Amino acid sequence: MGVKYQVIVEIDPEGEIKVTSKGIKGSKCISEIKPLCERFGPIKDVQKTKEYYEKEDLKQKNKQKIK
Amino acid sequence: MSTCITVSPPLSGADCVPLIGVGMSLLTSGICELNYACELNQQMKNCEGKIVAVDLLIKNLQGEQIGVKVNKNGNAEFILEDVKSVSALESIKQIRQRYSKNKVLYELQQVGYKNIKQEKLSNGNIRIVVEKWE
Repeated sequence: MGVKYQVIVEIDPEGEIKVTSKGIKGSKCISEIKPLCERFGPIKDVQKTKEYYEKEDLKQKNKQKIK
Repeated sequence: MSTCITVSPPLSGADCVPLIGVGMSLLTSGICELNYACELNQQMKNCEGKIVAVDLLIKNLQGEQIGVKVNKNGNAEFILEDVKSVSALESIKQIRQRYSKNKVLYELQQVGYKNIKQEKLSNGNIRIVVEKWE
């Protein structure tokens, strides 16, 4: 079975949208959610949190190499 | 939590984005969810007292008229008779939030997300969560 991750979208009363990923480590989180964010509207800010700086799951990395 | 990306409201007065294609239907859906009445291609009085044509004429629960005009660049602008009306400005905020929500749901479905959960939070935010397996 693969890895499960979440995309959490929160829309404030002004209509501003915040998109957060959970369960994707490393820079892959941006490549996963940024194209989606661009579909919603102009990107205002990008904040990298702790999980971004954690190493990608080794299993995921090996899977990509095998492909 | 990993990366957090903030997206400007897709429907805003200052930085308008094109309201083309499905945009208008997403907007009218949001307006109906608020139980506001709306009609296409009407006229209303703007804040200068002039009669102007609008693409969408909305009436909020207080009976106030709010116009939506799509300009030549394809961007949507809000028009009010009384720019100081607190209730009208609050209605615009609600319309913007609903449009953003409908826009998000539409785009999530377009890219293939299926199990979409949404809830209204106590702070007034709308939260949408999707999961994906890799």
